[in-house]
Order: sequence, then C-alpha cells, then structure tokens
Amino acid sequence: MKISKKQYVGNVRDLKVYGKALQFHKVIYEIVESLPDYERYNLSDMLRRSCSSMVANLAEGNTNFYYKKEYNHLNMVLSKIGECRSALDISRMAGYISESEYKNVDFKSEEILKMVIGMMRRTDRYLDNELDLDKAETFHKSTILPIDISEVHKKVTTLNSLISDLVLQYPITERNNMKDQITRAAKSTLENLNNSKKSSYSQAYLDLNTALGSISETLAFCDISIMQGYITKSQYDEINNLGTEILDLVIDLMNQVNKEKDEEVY
Amino acid sequence: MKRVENFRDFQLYLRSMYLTRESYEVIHVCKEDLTDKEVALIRKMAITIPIKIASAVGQVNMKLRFKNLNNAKSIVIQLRATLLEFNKKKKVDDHSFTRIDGYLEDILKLLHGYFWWISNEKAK
Repeated sequence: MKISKKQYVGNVRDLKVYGKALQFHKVIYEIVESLPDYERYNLSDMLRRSCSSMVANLAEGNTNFYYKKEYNHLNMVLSKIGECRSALDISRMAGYISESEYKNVDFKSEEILKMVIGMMRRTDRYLDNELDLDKAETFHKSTILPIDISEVHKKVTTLNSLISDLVLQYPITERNNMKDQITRAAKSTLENLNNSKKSSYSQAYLDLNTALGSISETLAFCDISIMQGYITKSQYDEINNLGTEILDLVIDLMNQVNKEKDEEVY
Repeated sequence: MKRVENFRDFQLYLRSMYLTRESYEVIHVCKEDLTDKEVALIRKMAITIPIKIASAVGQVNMKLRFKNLNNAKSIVIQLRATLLEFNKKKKVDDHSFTRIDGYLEDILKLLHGYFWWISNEKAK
C-alpha cells in the first residue's frame, strides 16, 4: 500500500529547523534595517518577504496530512532560501553589509538549506517506497470526538477579527509583506472551513487539511510578529491559545470525516 | 529526489550578478540625468533578475524553475527596452548602454540554453 498520508501532524515549533529559520529571520531584519533608504521598496522588501515566506512555508508544510504537500512546501522553502541568499549577495556586492556579516548570515542560511534538503529526502522516501502502513511508523491517533463545525467556525471568526485589529499595529514597511500575508492566511482558514461544509468526504478532508496549514501559517506569522516586537505578549498569548485550540479541533474534525467515510464504505 | 543545485555555480547567475553590478554603476554615473522614479525602476529590475534565477535554480520542481526563469527572461527584456529608451533620450550614455546590453544578451542566450535543457529533461 502506497503511503501518501501522514498518520499524525507534529508541532512545527518542535522542529530545530523552525527555530533556526526564526533566528535567521531576525538576523535578516537587522540587516534590512542597515540598508539605505532607497532600497526600501527593492532589496529590503525582497529580503523581508522571502525570509517571512520561508518560515511560513516551513510551518504550513509541517502541519498537513499529505507528504506530497509537505514536499512541495519544503521545495518552496528552498526557493525562498535561494532568494534570500541572492539578495544577500547583492547587498554584499553593493557594499551594504560587511564581509563578516555576510559570511555569518550565509552560513546560517546554508545550515537551514541542508536541514530542509534532509527533510525533503525523508519525505521523498515515503512518496517513493511502497511500505506497509502498519510497519511504517508508530503513531498516536487523536481521540475521535463528536464536534460540531460551528464551534471551530466561531473560533476562527474570532481569530480573524483579532488578526484584523492586530495588523493595524504593524509598521508601514510590512504593508506588502506580513500584514497582507497574515490576513490572507487567516481568511484562507475560514474559507476552507466553510468549503468543507458543502463538500464530499474526500474534498472536505482536503479543505480541512488546507485550513490546518493556513492556521499553522498564521501562528508562524504571530511567532515572527512577537519576535519583531510588533505585538504584545498578551496579544500573542491570546492568538496562540486560540490558534492551538483551532488546530486541535480541525484535527479532530478530520478524524471525524475519516470515520464517517469508513462507516459509509463498509 | 533530484539534486539541489548550488545557484552560485551557474554562469547564468554569475552573469546576472554582473548585470546588477553594472546597472548600479550606470545609475551612479547617470544619476543626474535620471529621475528618482527611473532610478528606482532600473534598480528594481536589476535586482529581480538574479533573485528570480536563484529562486529557480535553488529548488527541484521543474515547472517552478521554468516559471521563475521565464519571469527572469521577461524582466531582462523589459530592462533592455527601458535602457534603450533612456539611451535614445540621452539619459544613459552609449558606452554604459553597450556594456549592459552585452550582459543582457549573454543572459538571454544562457536562459534560452537552459529552457532547451529543461525541455529535454521533460522529454526524457
């Protein structure tokens, strides 16, 4: 039996590479601060967007049930690392950063690159090899609970309104970057949740899976926001707690969809 | 899994970096004749080309590679047209234009070669 679906999703914050990506993001933002004003809408914007997207893709890839999707998101991370490294090459060439600064940040990016390639190789094995599902991995299954979708819907709506208020605090430099991306991710969660109500079982599962990725992406942007000091600790805690609750509820909903599908088949 | 290439080993990337350096040089030389908007336009296009190439080469999805390289190609063409226009308006001198145009020509040739290679890979 070919395995294309994961048995469980882990917490992206437990990944070493995620921590390294956040540290890299911090260093990049420090470099961006030192770039001249005329690069604000060119190089600075590119660097900001690429490194934020890198963190978000890592989170979205890790928090979904399909290996193929994880692989694609990890590939996007590679692409974004390439963008960051190229922008750093330009910064060095233009003399905006010193050689030691460049070497230090390039080493960090290479470290992340190697870790992501390792993760892709691992994921690729699941895509290539035909393994016995039972022997593949030991896993724990979430308990199947009878959850009404309206409960998740209510929580996601609350999260959306919290995010809408939150983005007003973001600096103007984040207008085309994090402000847009966090709003889009939060909206995508709600849209996919709504779509799952009207879909067939397999489509509902896919929609919920996308919603799961989007919520994880939203939380990744919150991690960046607190790190950059755009939001307060209490705001972060509020969003983080709500986001974690939504993640658990969506995973339970997915199990429910799976169970209902099995009952219909047999 | 396909091998992840180091984009810095690619002639295409190196030439695009030379192009960026040359474009910055032109901006420096001709800054009195160019408006702020024109300078920003050249700068944006000059930095986008190597970034798109790095983004394309540094990952393993062939469709994404093709898409990003195609974007890079259209920016190369746009930059060429923009600089030609500035050259006609005597905002960019002939010497600077010829130098940049040489790099643009090289990049286009290398891009076409790369597209041909991608098509061959697909056929395999």
